[in-house]
Amino acid sequence: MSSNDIRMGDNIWQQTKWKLKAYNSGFTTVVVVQILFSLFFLSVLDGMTHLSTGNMYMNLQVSIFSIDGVLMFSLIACLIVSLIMASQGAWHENMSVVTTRITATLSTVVYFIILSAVATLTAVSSFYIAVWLAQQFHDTEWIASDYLLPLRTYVICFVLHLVATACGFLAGIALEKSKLLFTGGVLAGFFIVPYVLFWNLKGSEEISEAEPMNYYAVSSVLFMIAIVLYTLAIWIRSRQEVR
Amino acid sequence: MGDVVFTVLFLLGILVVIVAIIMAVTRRRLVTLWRPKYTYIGLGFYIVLGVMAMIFVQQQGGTEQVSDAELQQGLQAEMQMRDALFNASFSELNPQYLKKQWTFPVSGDTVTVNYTNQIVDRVYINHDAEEGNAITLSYYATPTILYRLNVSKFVELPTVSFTDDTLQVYFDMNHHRFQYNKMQPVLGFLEASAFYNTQIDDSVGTYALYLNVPQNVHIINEGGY
Repeated sequence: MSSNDIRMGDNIWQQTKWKLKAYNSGFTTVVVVQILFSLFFLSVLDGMTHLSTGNMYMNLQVSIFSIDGVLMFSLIACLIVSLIMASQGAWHENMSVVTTRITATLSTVVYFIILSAVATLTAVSSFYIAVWLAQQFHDTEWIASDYLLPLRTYVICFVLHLVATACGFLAGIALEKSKLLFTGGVLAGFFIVPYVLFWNLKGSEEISEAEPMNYYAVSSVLFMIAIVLYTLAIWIRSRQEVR
Repeated sequence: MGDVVFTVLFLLGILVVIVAIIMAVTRRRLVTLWRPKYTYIGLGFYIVLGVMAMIFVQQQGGTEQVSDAELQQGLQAEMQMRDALFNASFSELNPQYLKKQWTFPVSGDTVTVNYTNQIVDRVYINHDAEEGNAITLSYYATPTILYRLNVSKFVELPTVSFTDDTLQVYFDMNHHRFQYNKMQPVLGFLEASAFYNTQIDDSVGTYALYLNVPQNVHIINEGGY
């Protein structure tokens, strides 16, 4: 049977399954990083953020445990994994199975989407395990709060992971093609990413009366950025198949 | 927190020993021993562990933060007390916030107030007591709310003594420190507005010492400094 007879969707799925098996270490890397840094935030920093308030008579310190720390390092791990997946070595390994350029790139993108979804769930797991350990081993009293993560946190974690993998993938491809392209892309990223992330935050005076952030709007913008970056990556990697 | 790290490292150590034993028994290297499906089984197990941790975490109670209404009430009480003191309208001091009252008989016609600390900035004095030879010291405290936590129960009474017509008021100057943990699941770097909003109602609570003396009693060191 010629490779031309195989449907593209089947080919992508078969290759994605192969990649999930071959590069399962990408998942373990991300989880190990999450475990290590959730422990780091628990033991060394004793919480992610510290608030201190009081009057002349009393001083109150609140250690806030939030998912930010774990998420930050999870994103870095995903970025590195995707950079490695975009390397020339990984590209050559794509040819281990019957494939085309477009199929190989698309299956890598599907792998990243699955990696982002799993990394989101394991980040949340790491966070809850860390908080539970803190509750068991820490004498400090806890302030009652809503312990359930809202859906928006899952959504924004997922799209942030998507953007991280897309950035890493595109950066890796750009680095293979041209160092100038890579440097230009990184510099552009430095200007664009903070603007996108903090686009609705204004000066501190305005923040106090600011409307609650529309997380879904931010997620949509981030999702669009991920799509654009993935499309760019696919476009750079592809060439016209001559039949 | 050292206990947490020790426990986790201990469990990881046990895992390494188990793997080493399996490798020794099967005489196979880890690379050949490990299969991709084990990774995904492990990931599934980790996520299930996270769900269990979430259930356990949810069962944990904690100190409730005060509601908006309680906070508003505390702020109003504070403002009302400050206004009453500033305008010397001592009759308007809300008896609800009177924590303790001391009455001392005076032998002469002069009382010295000895008061040296900064918790209450001064002792407010009023010559409004009934004719006689007794002075009355009142200590008022509105609810103390820090970071929306009512910590009024930790506010201590001043130590008061009266000897040889000298009133000694002493506050324990040991700074009270409280440590709390809070789980704030939402992302901090995207939640700046909520963070600033919590800072606005940061500290609520005021304390006042009010000394009521008869007209015929003269006070030395009225400022209490």
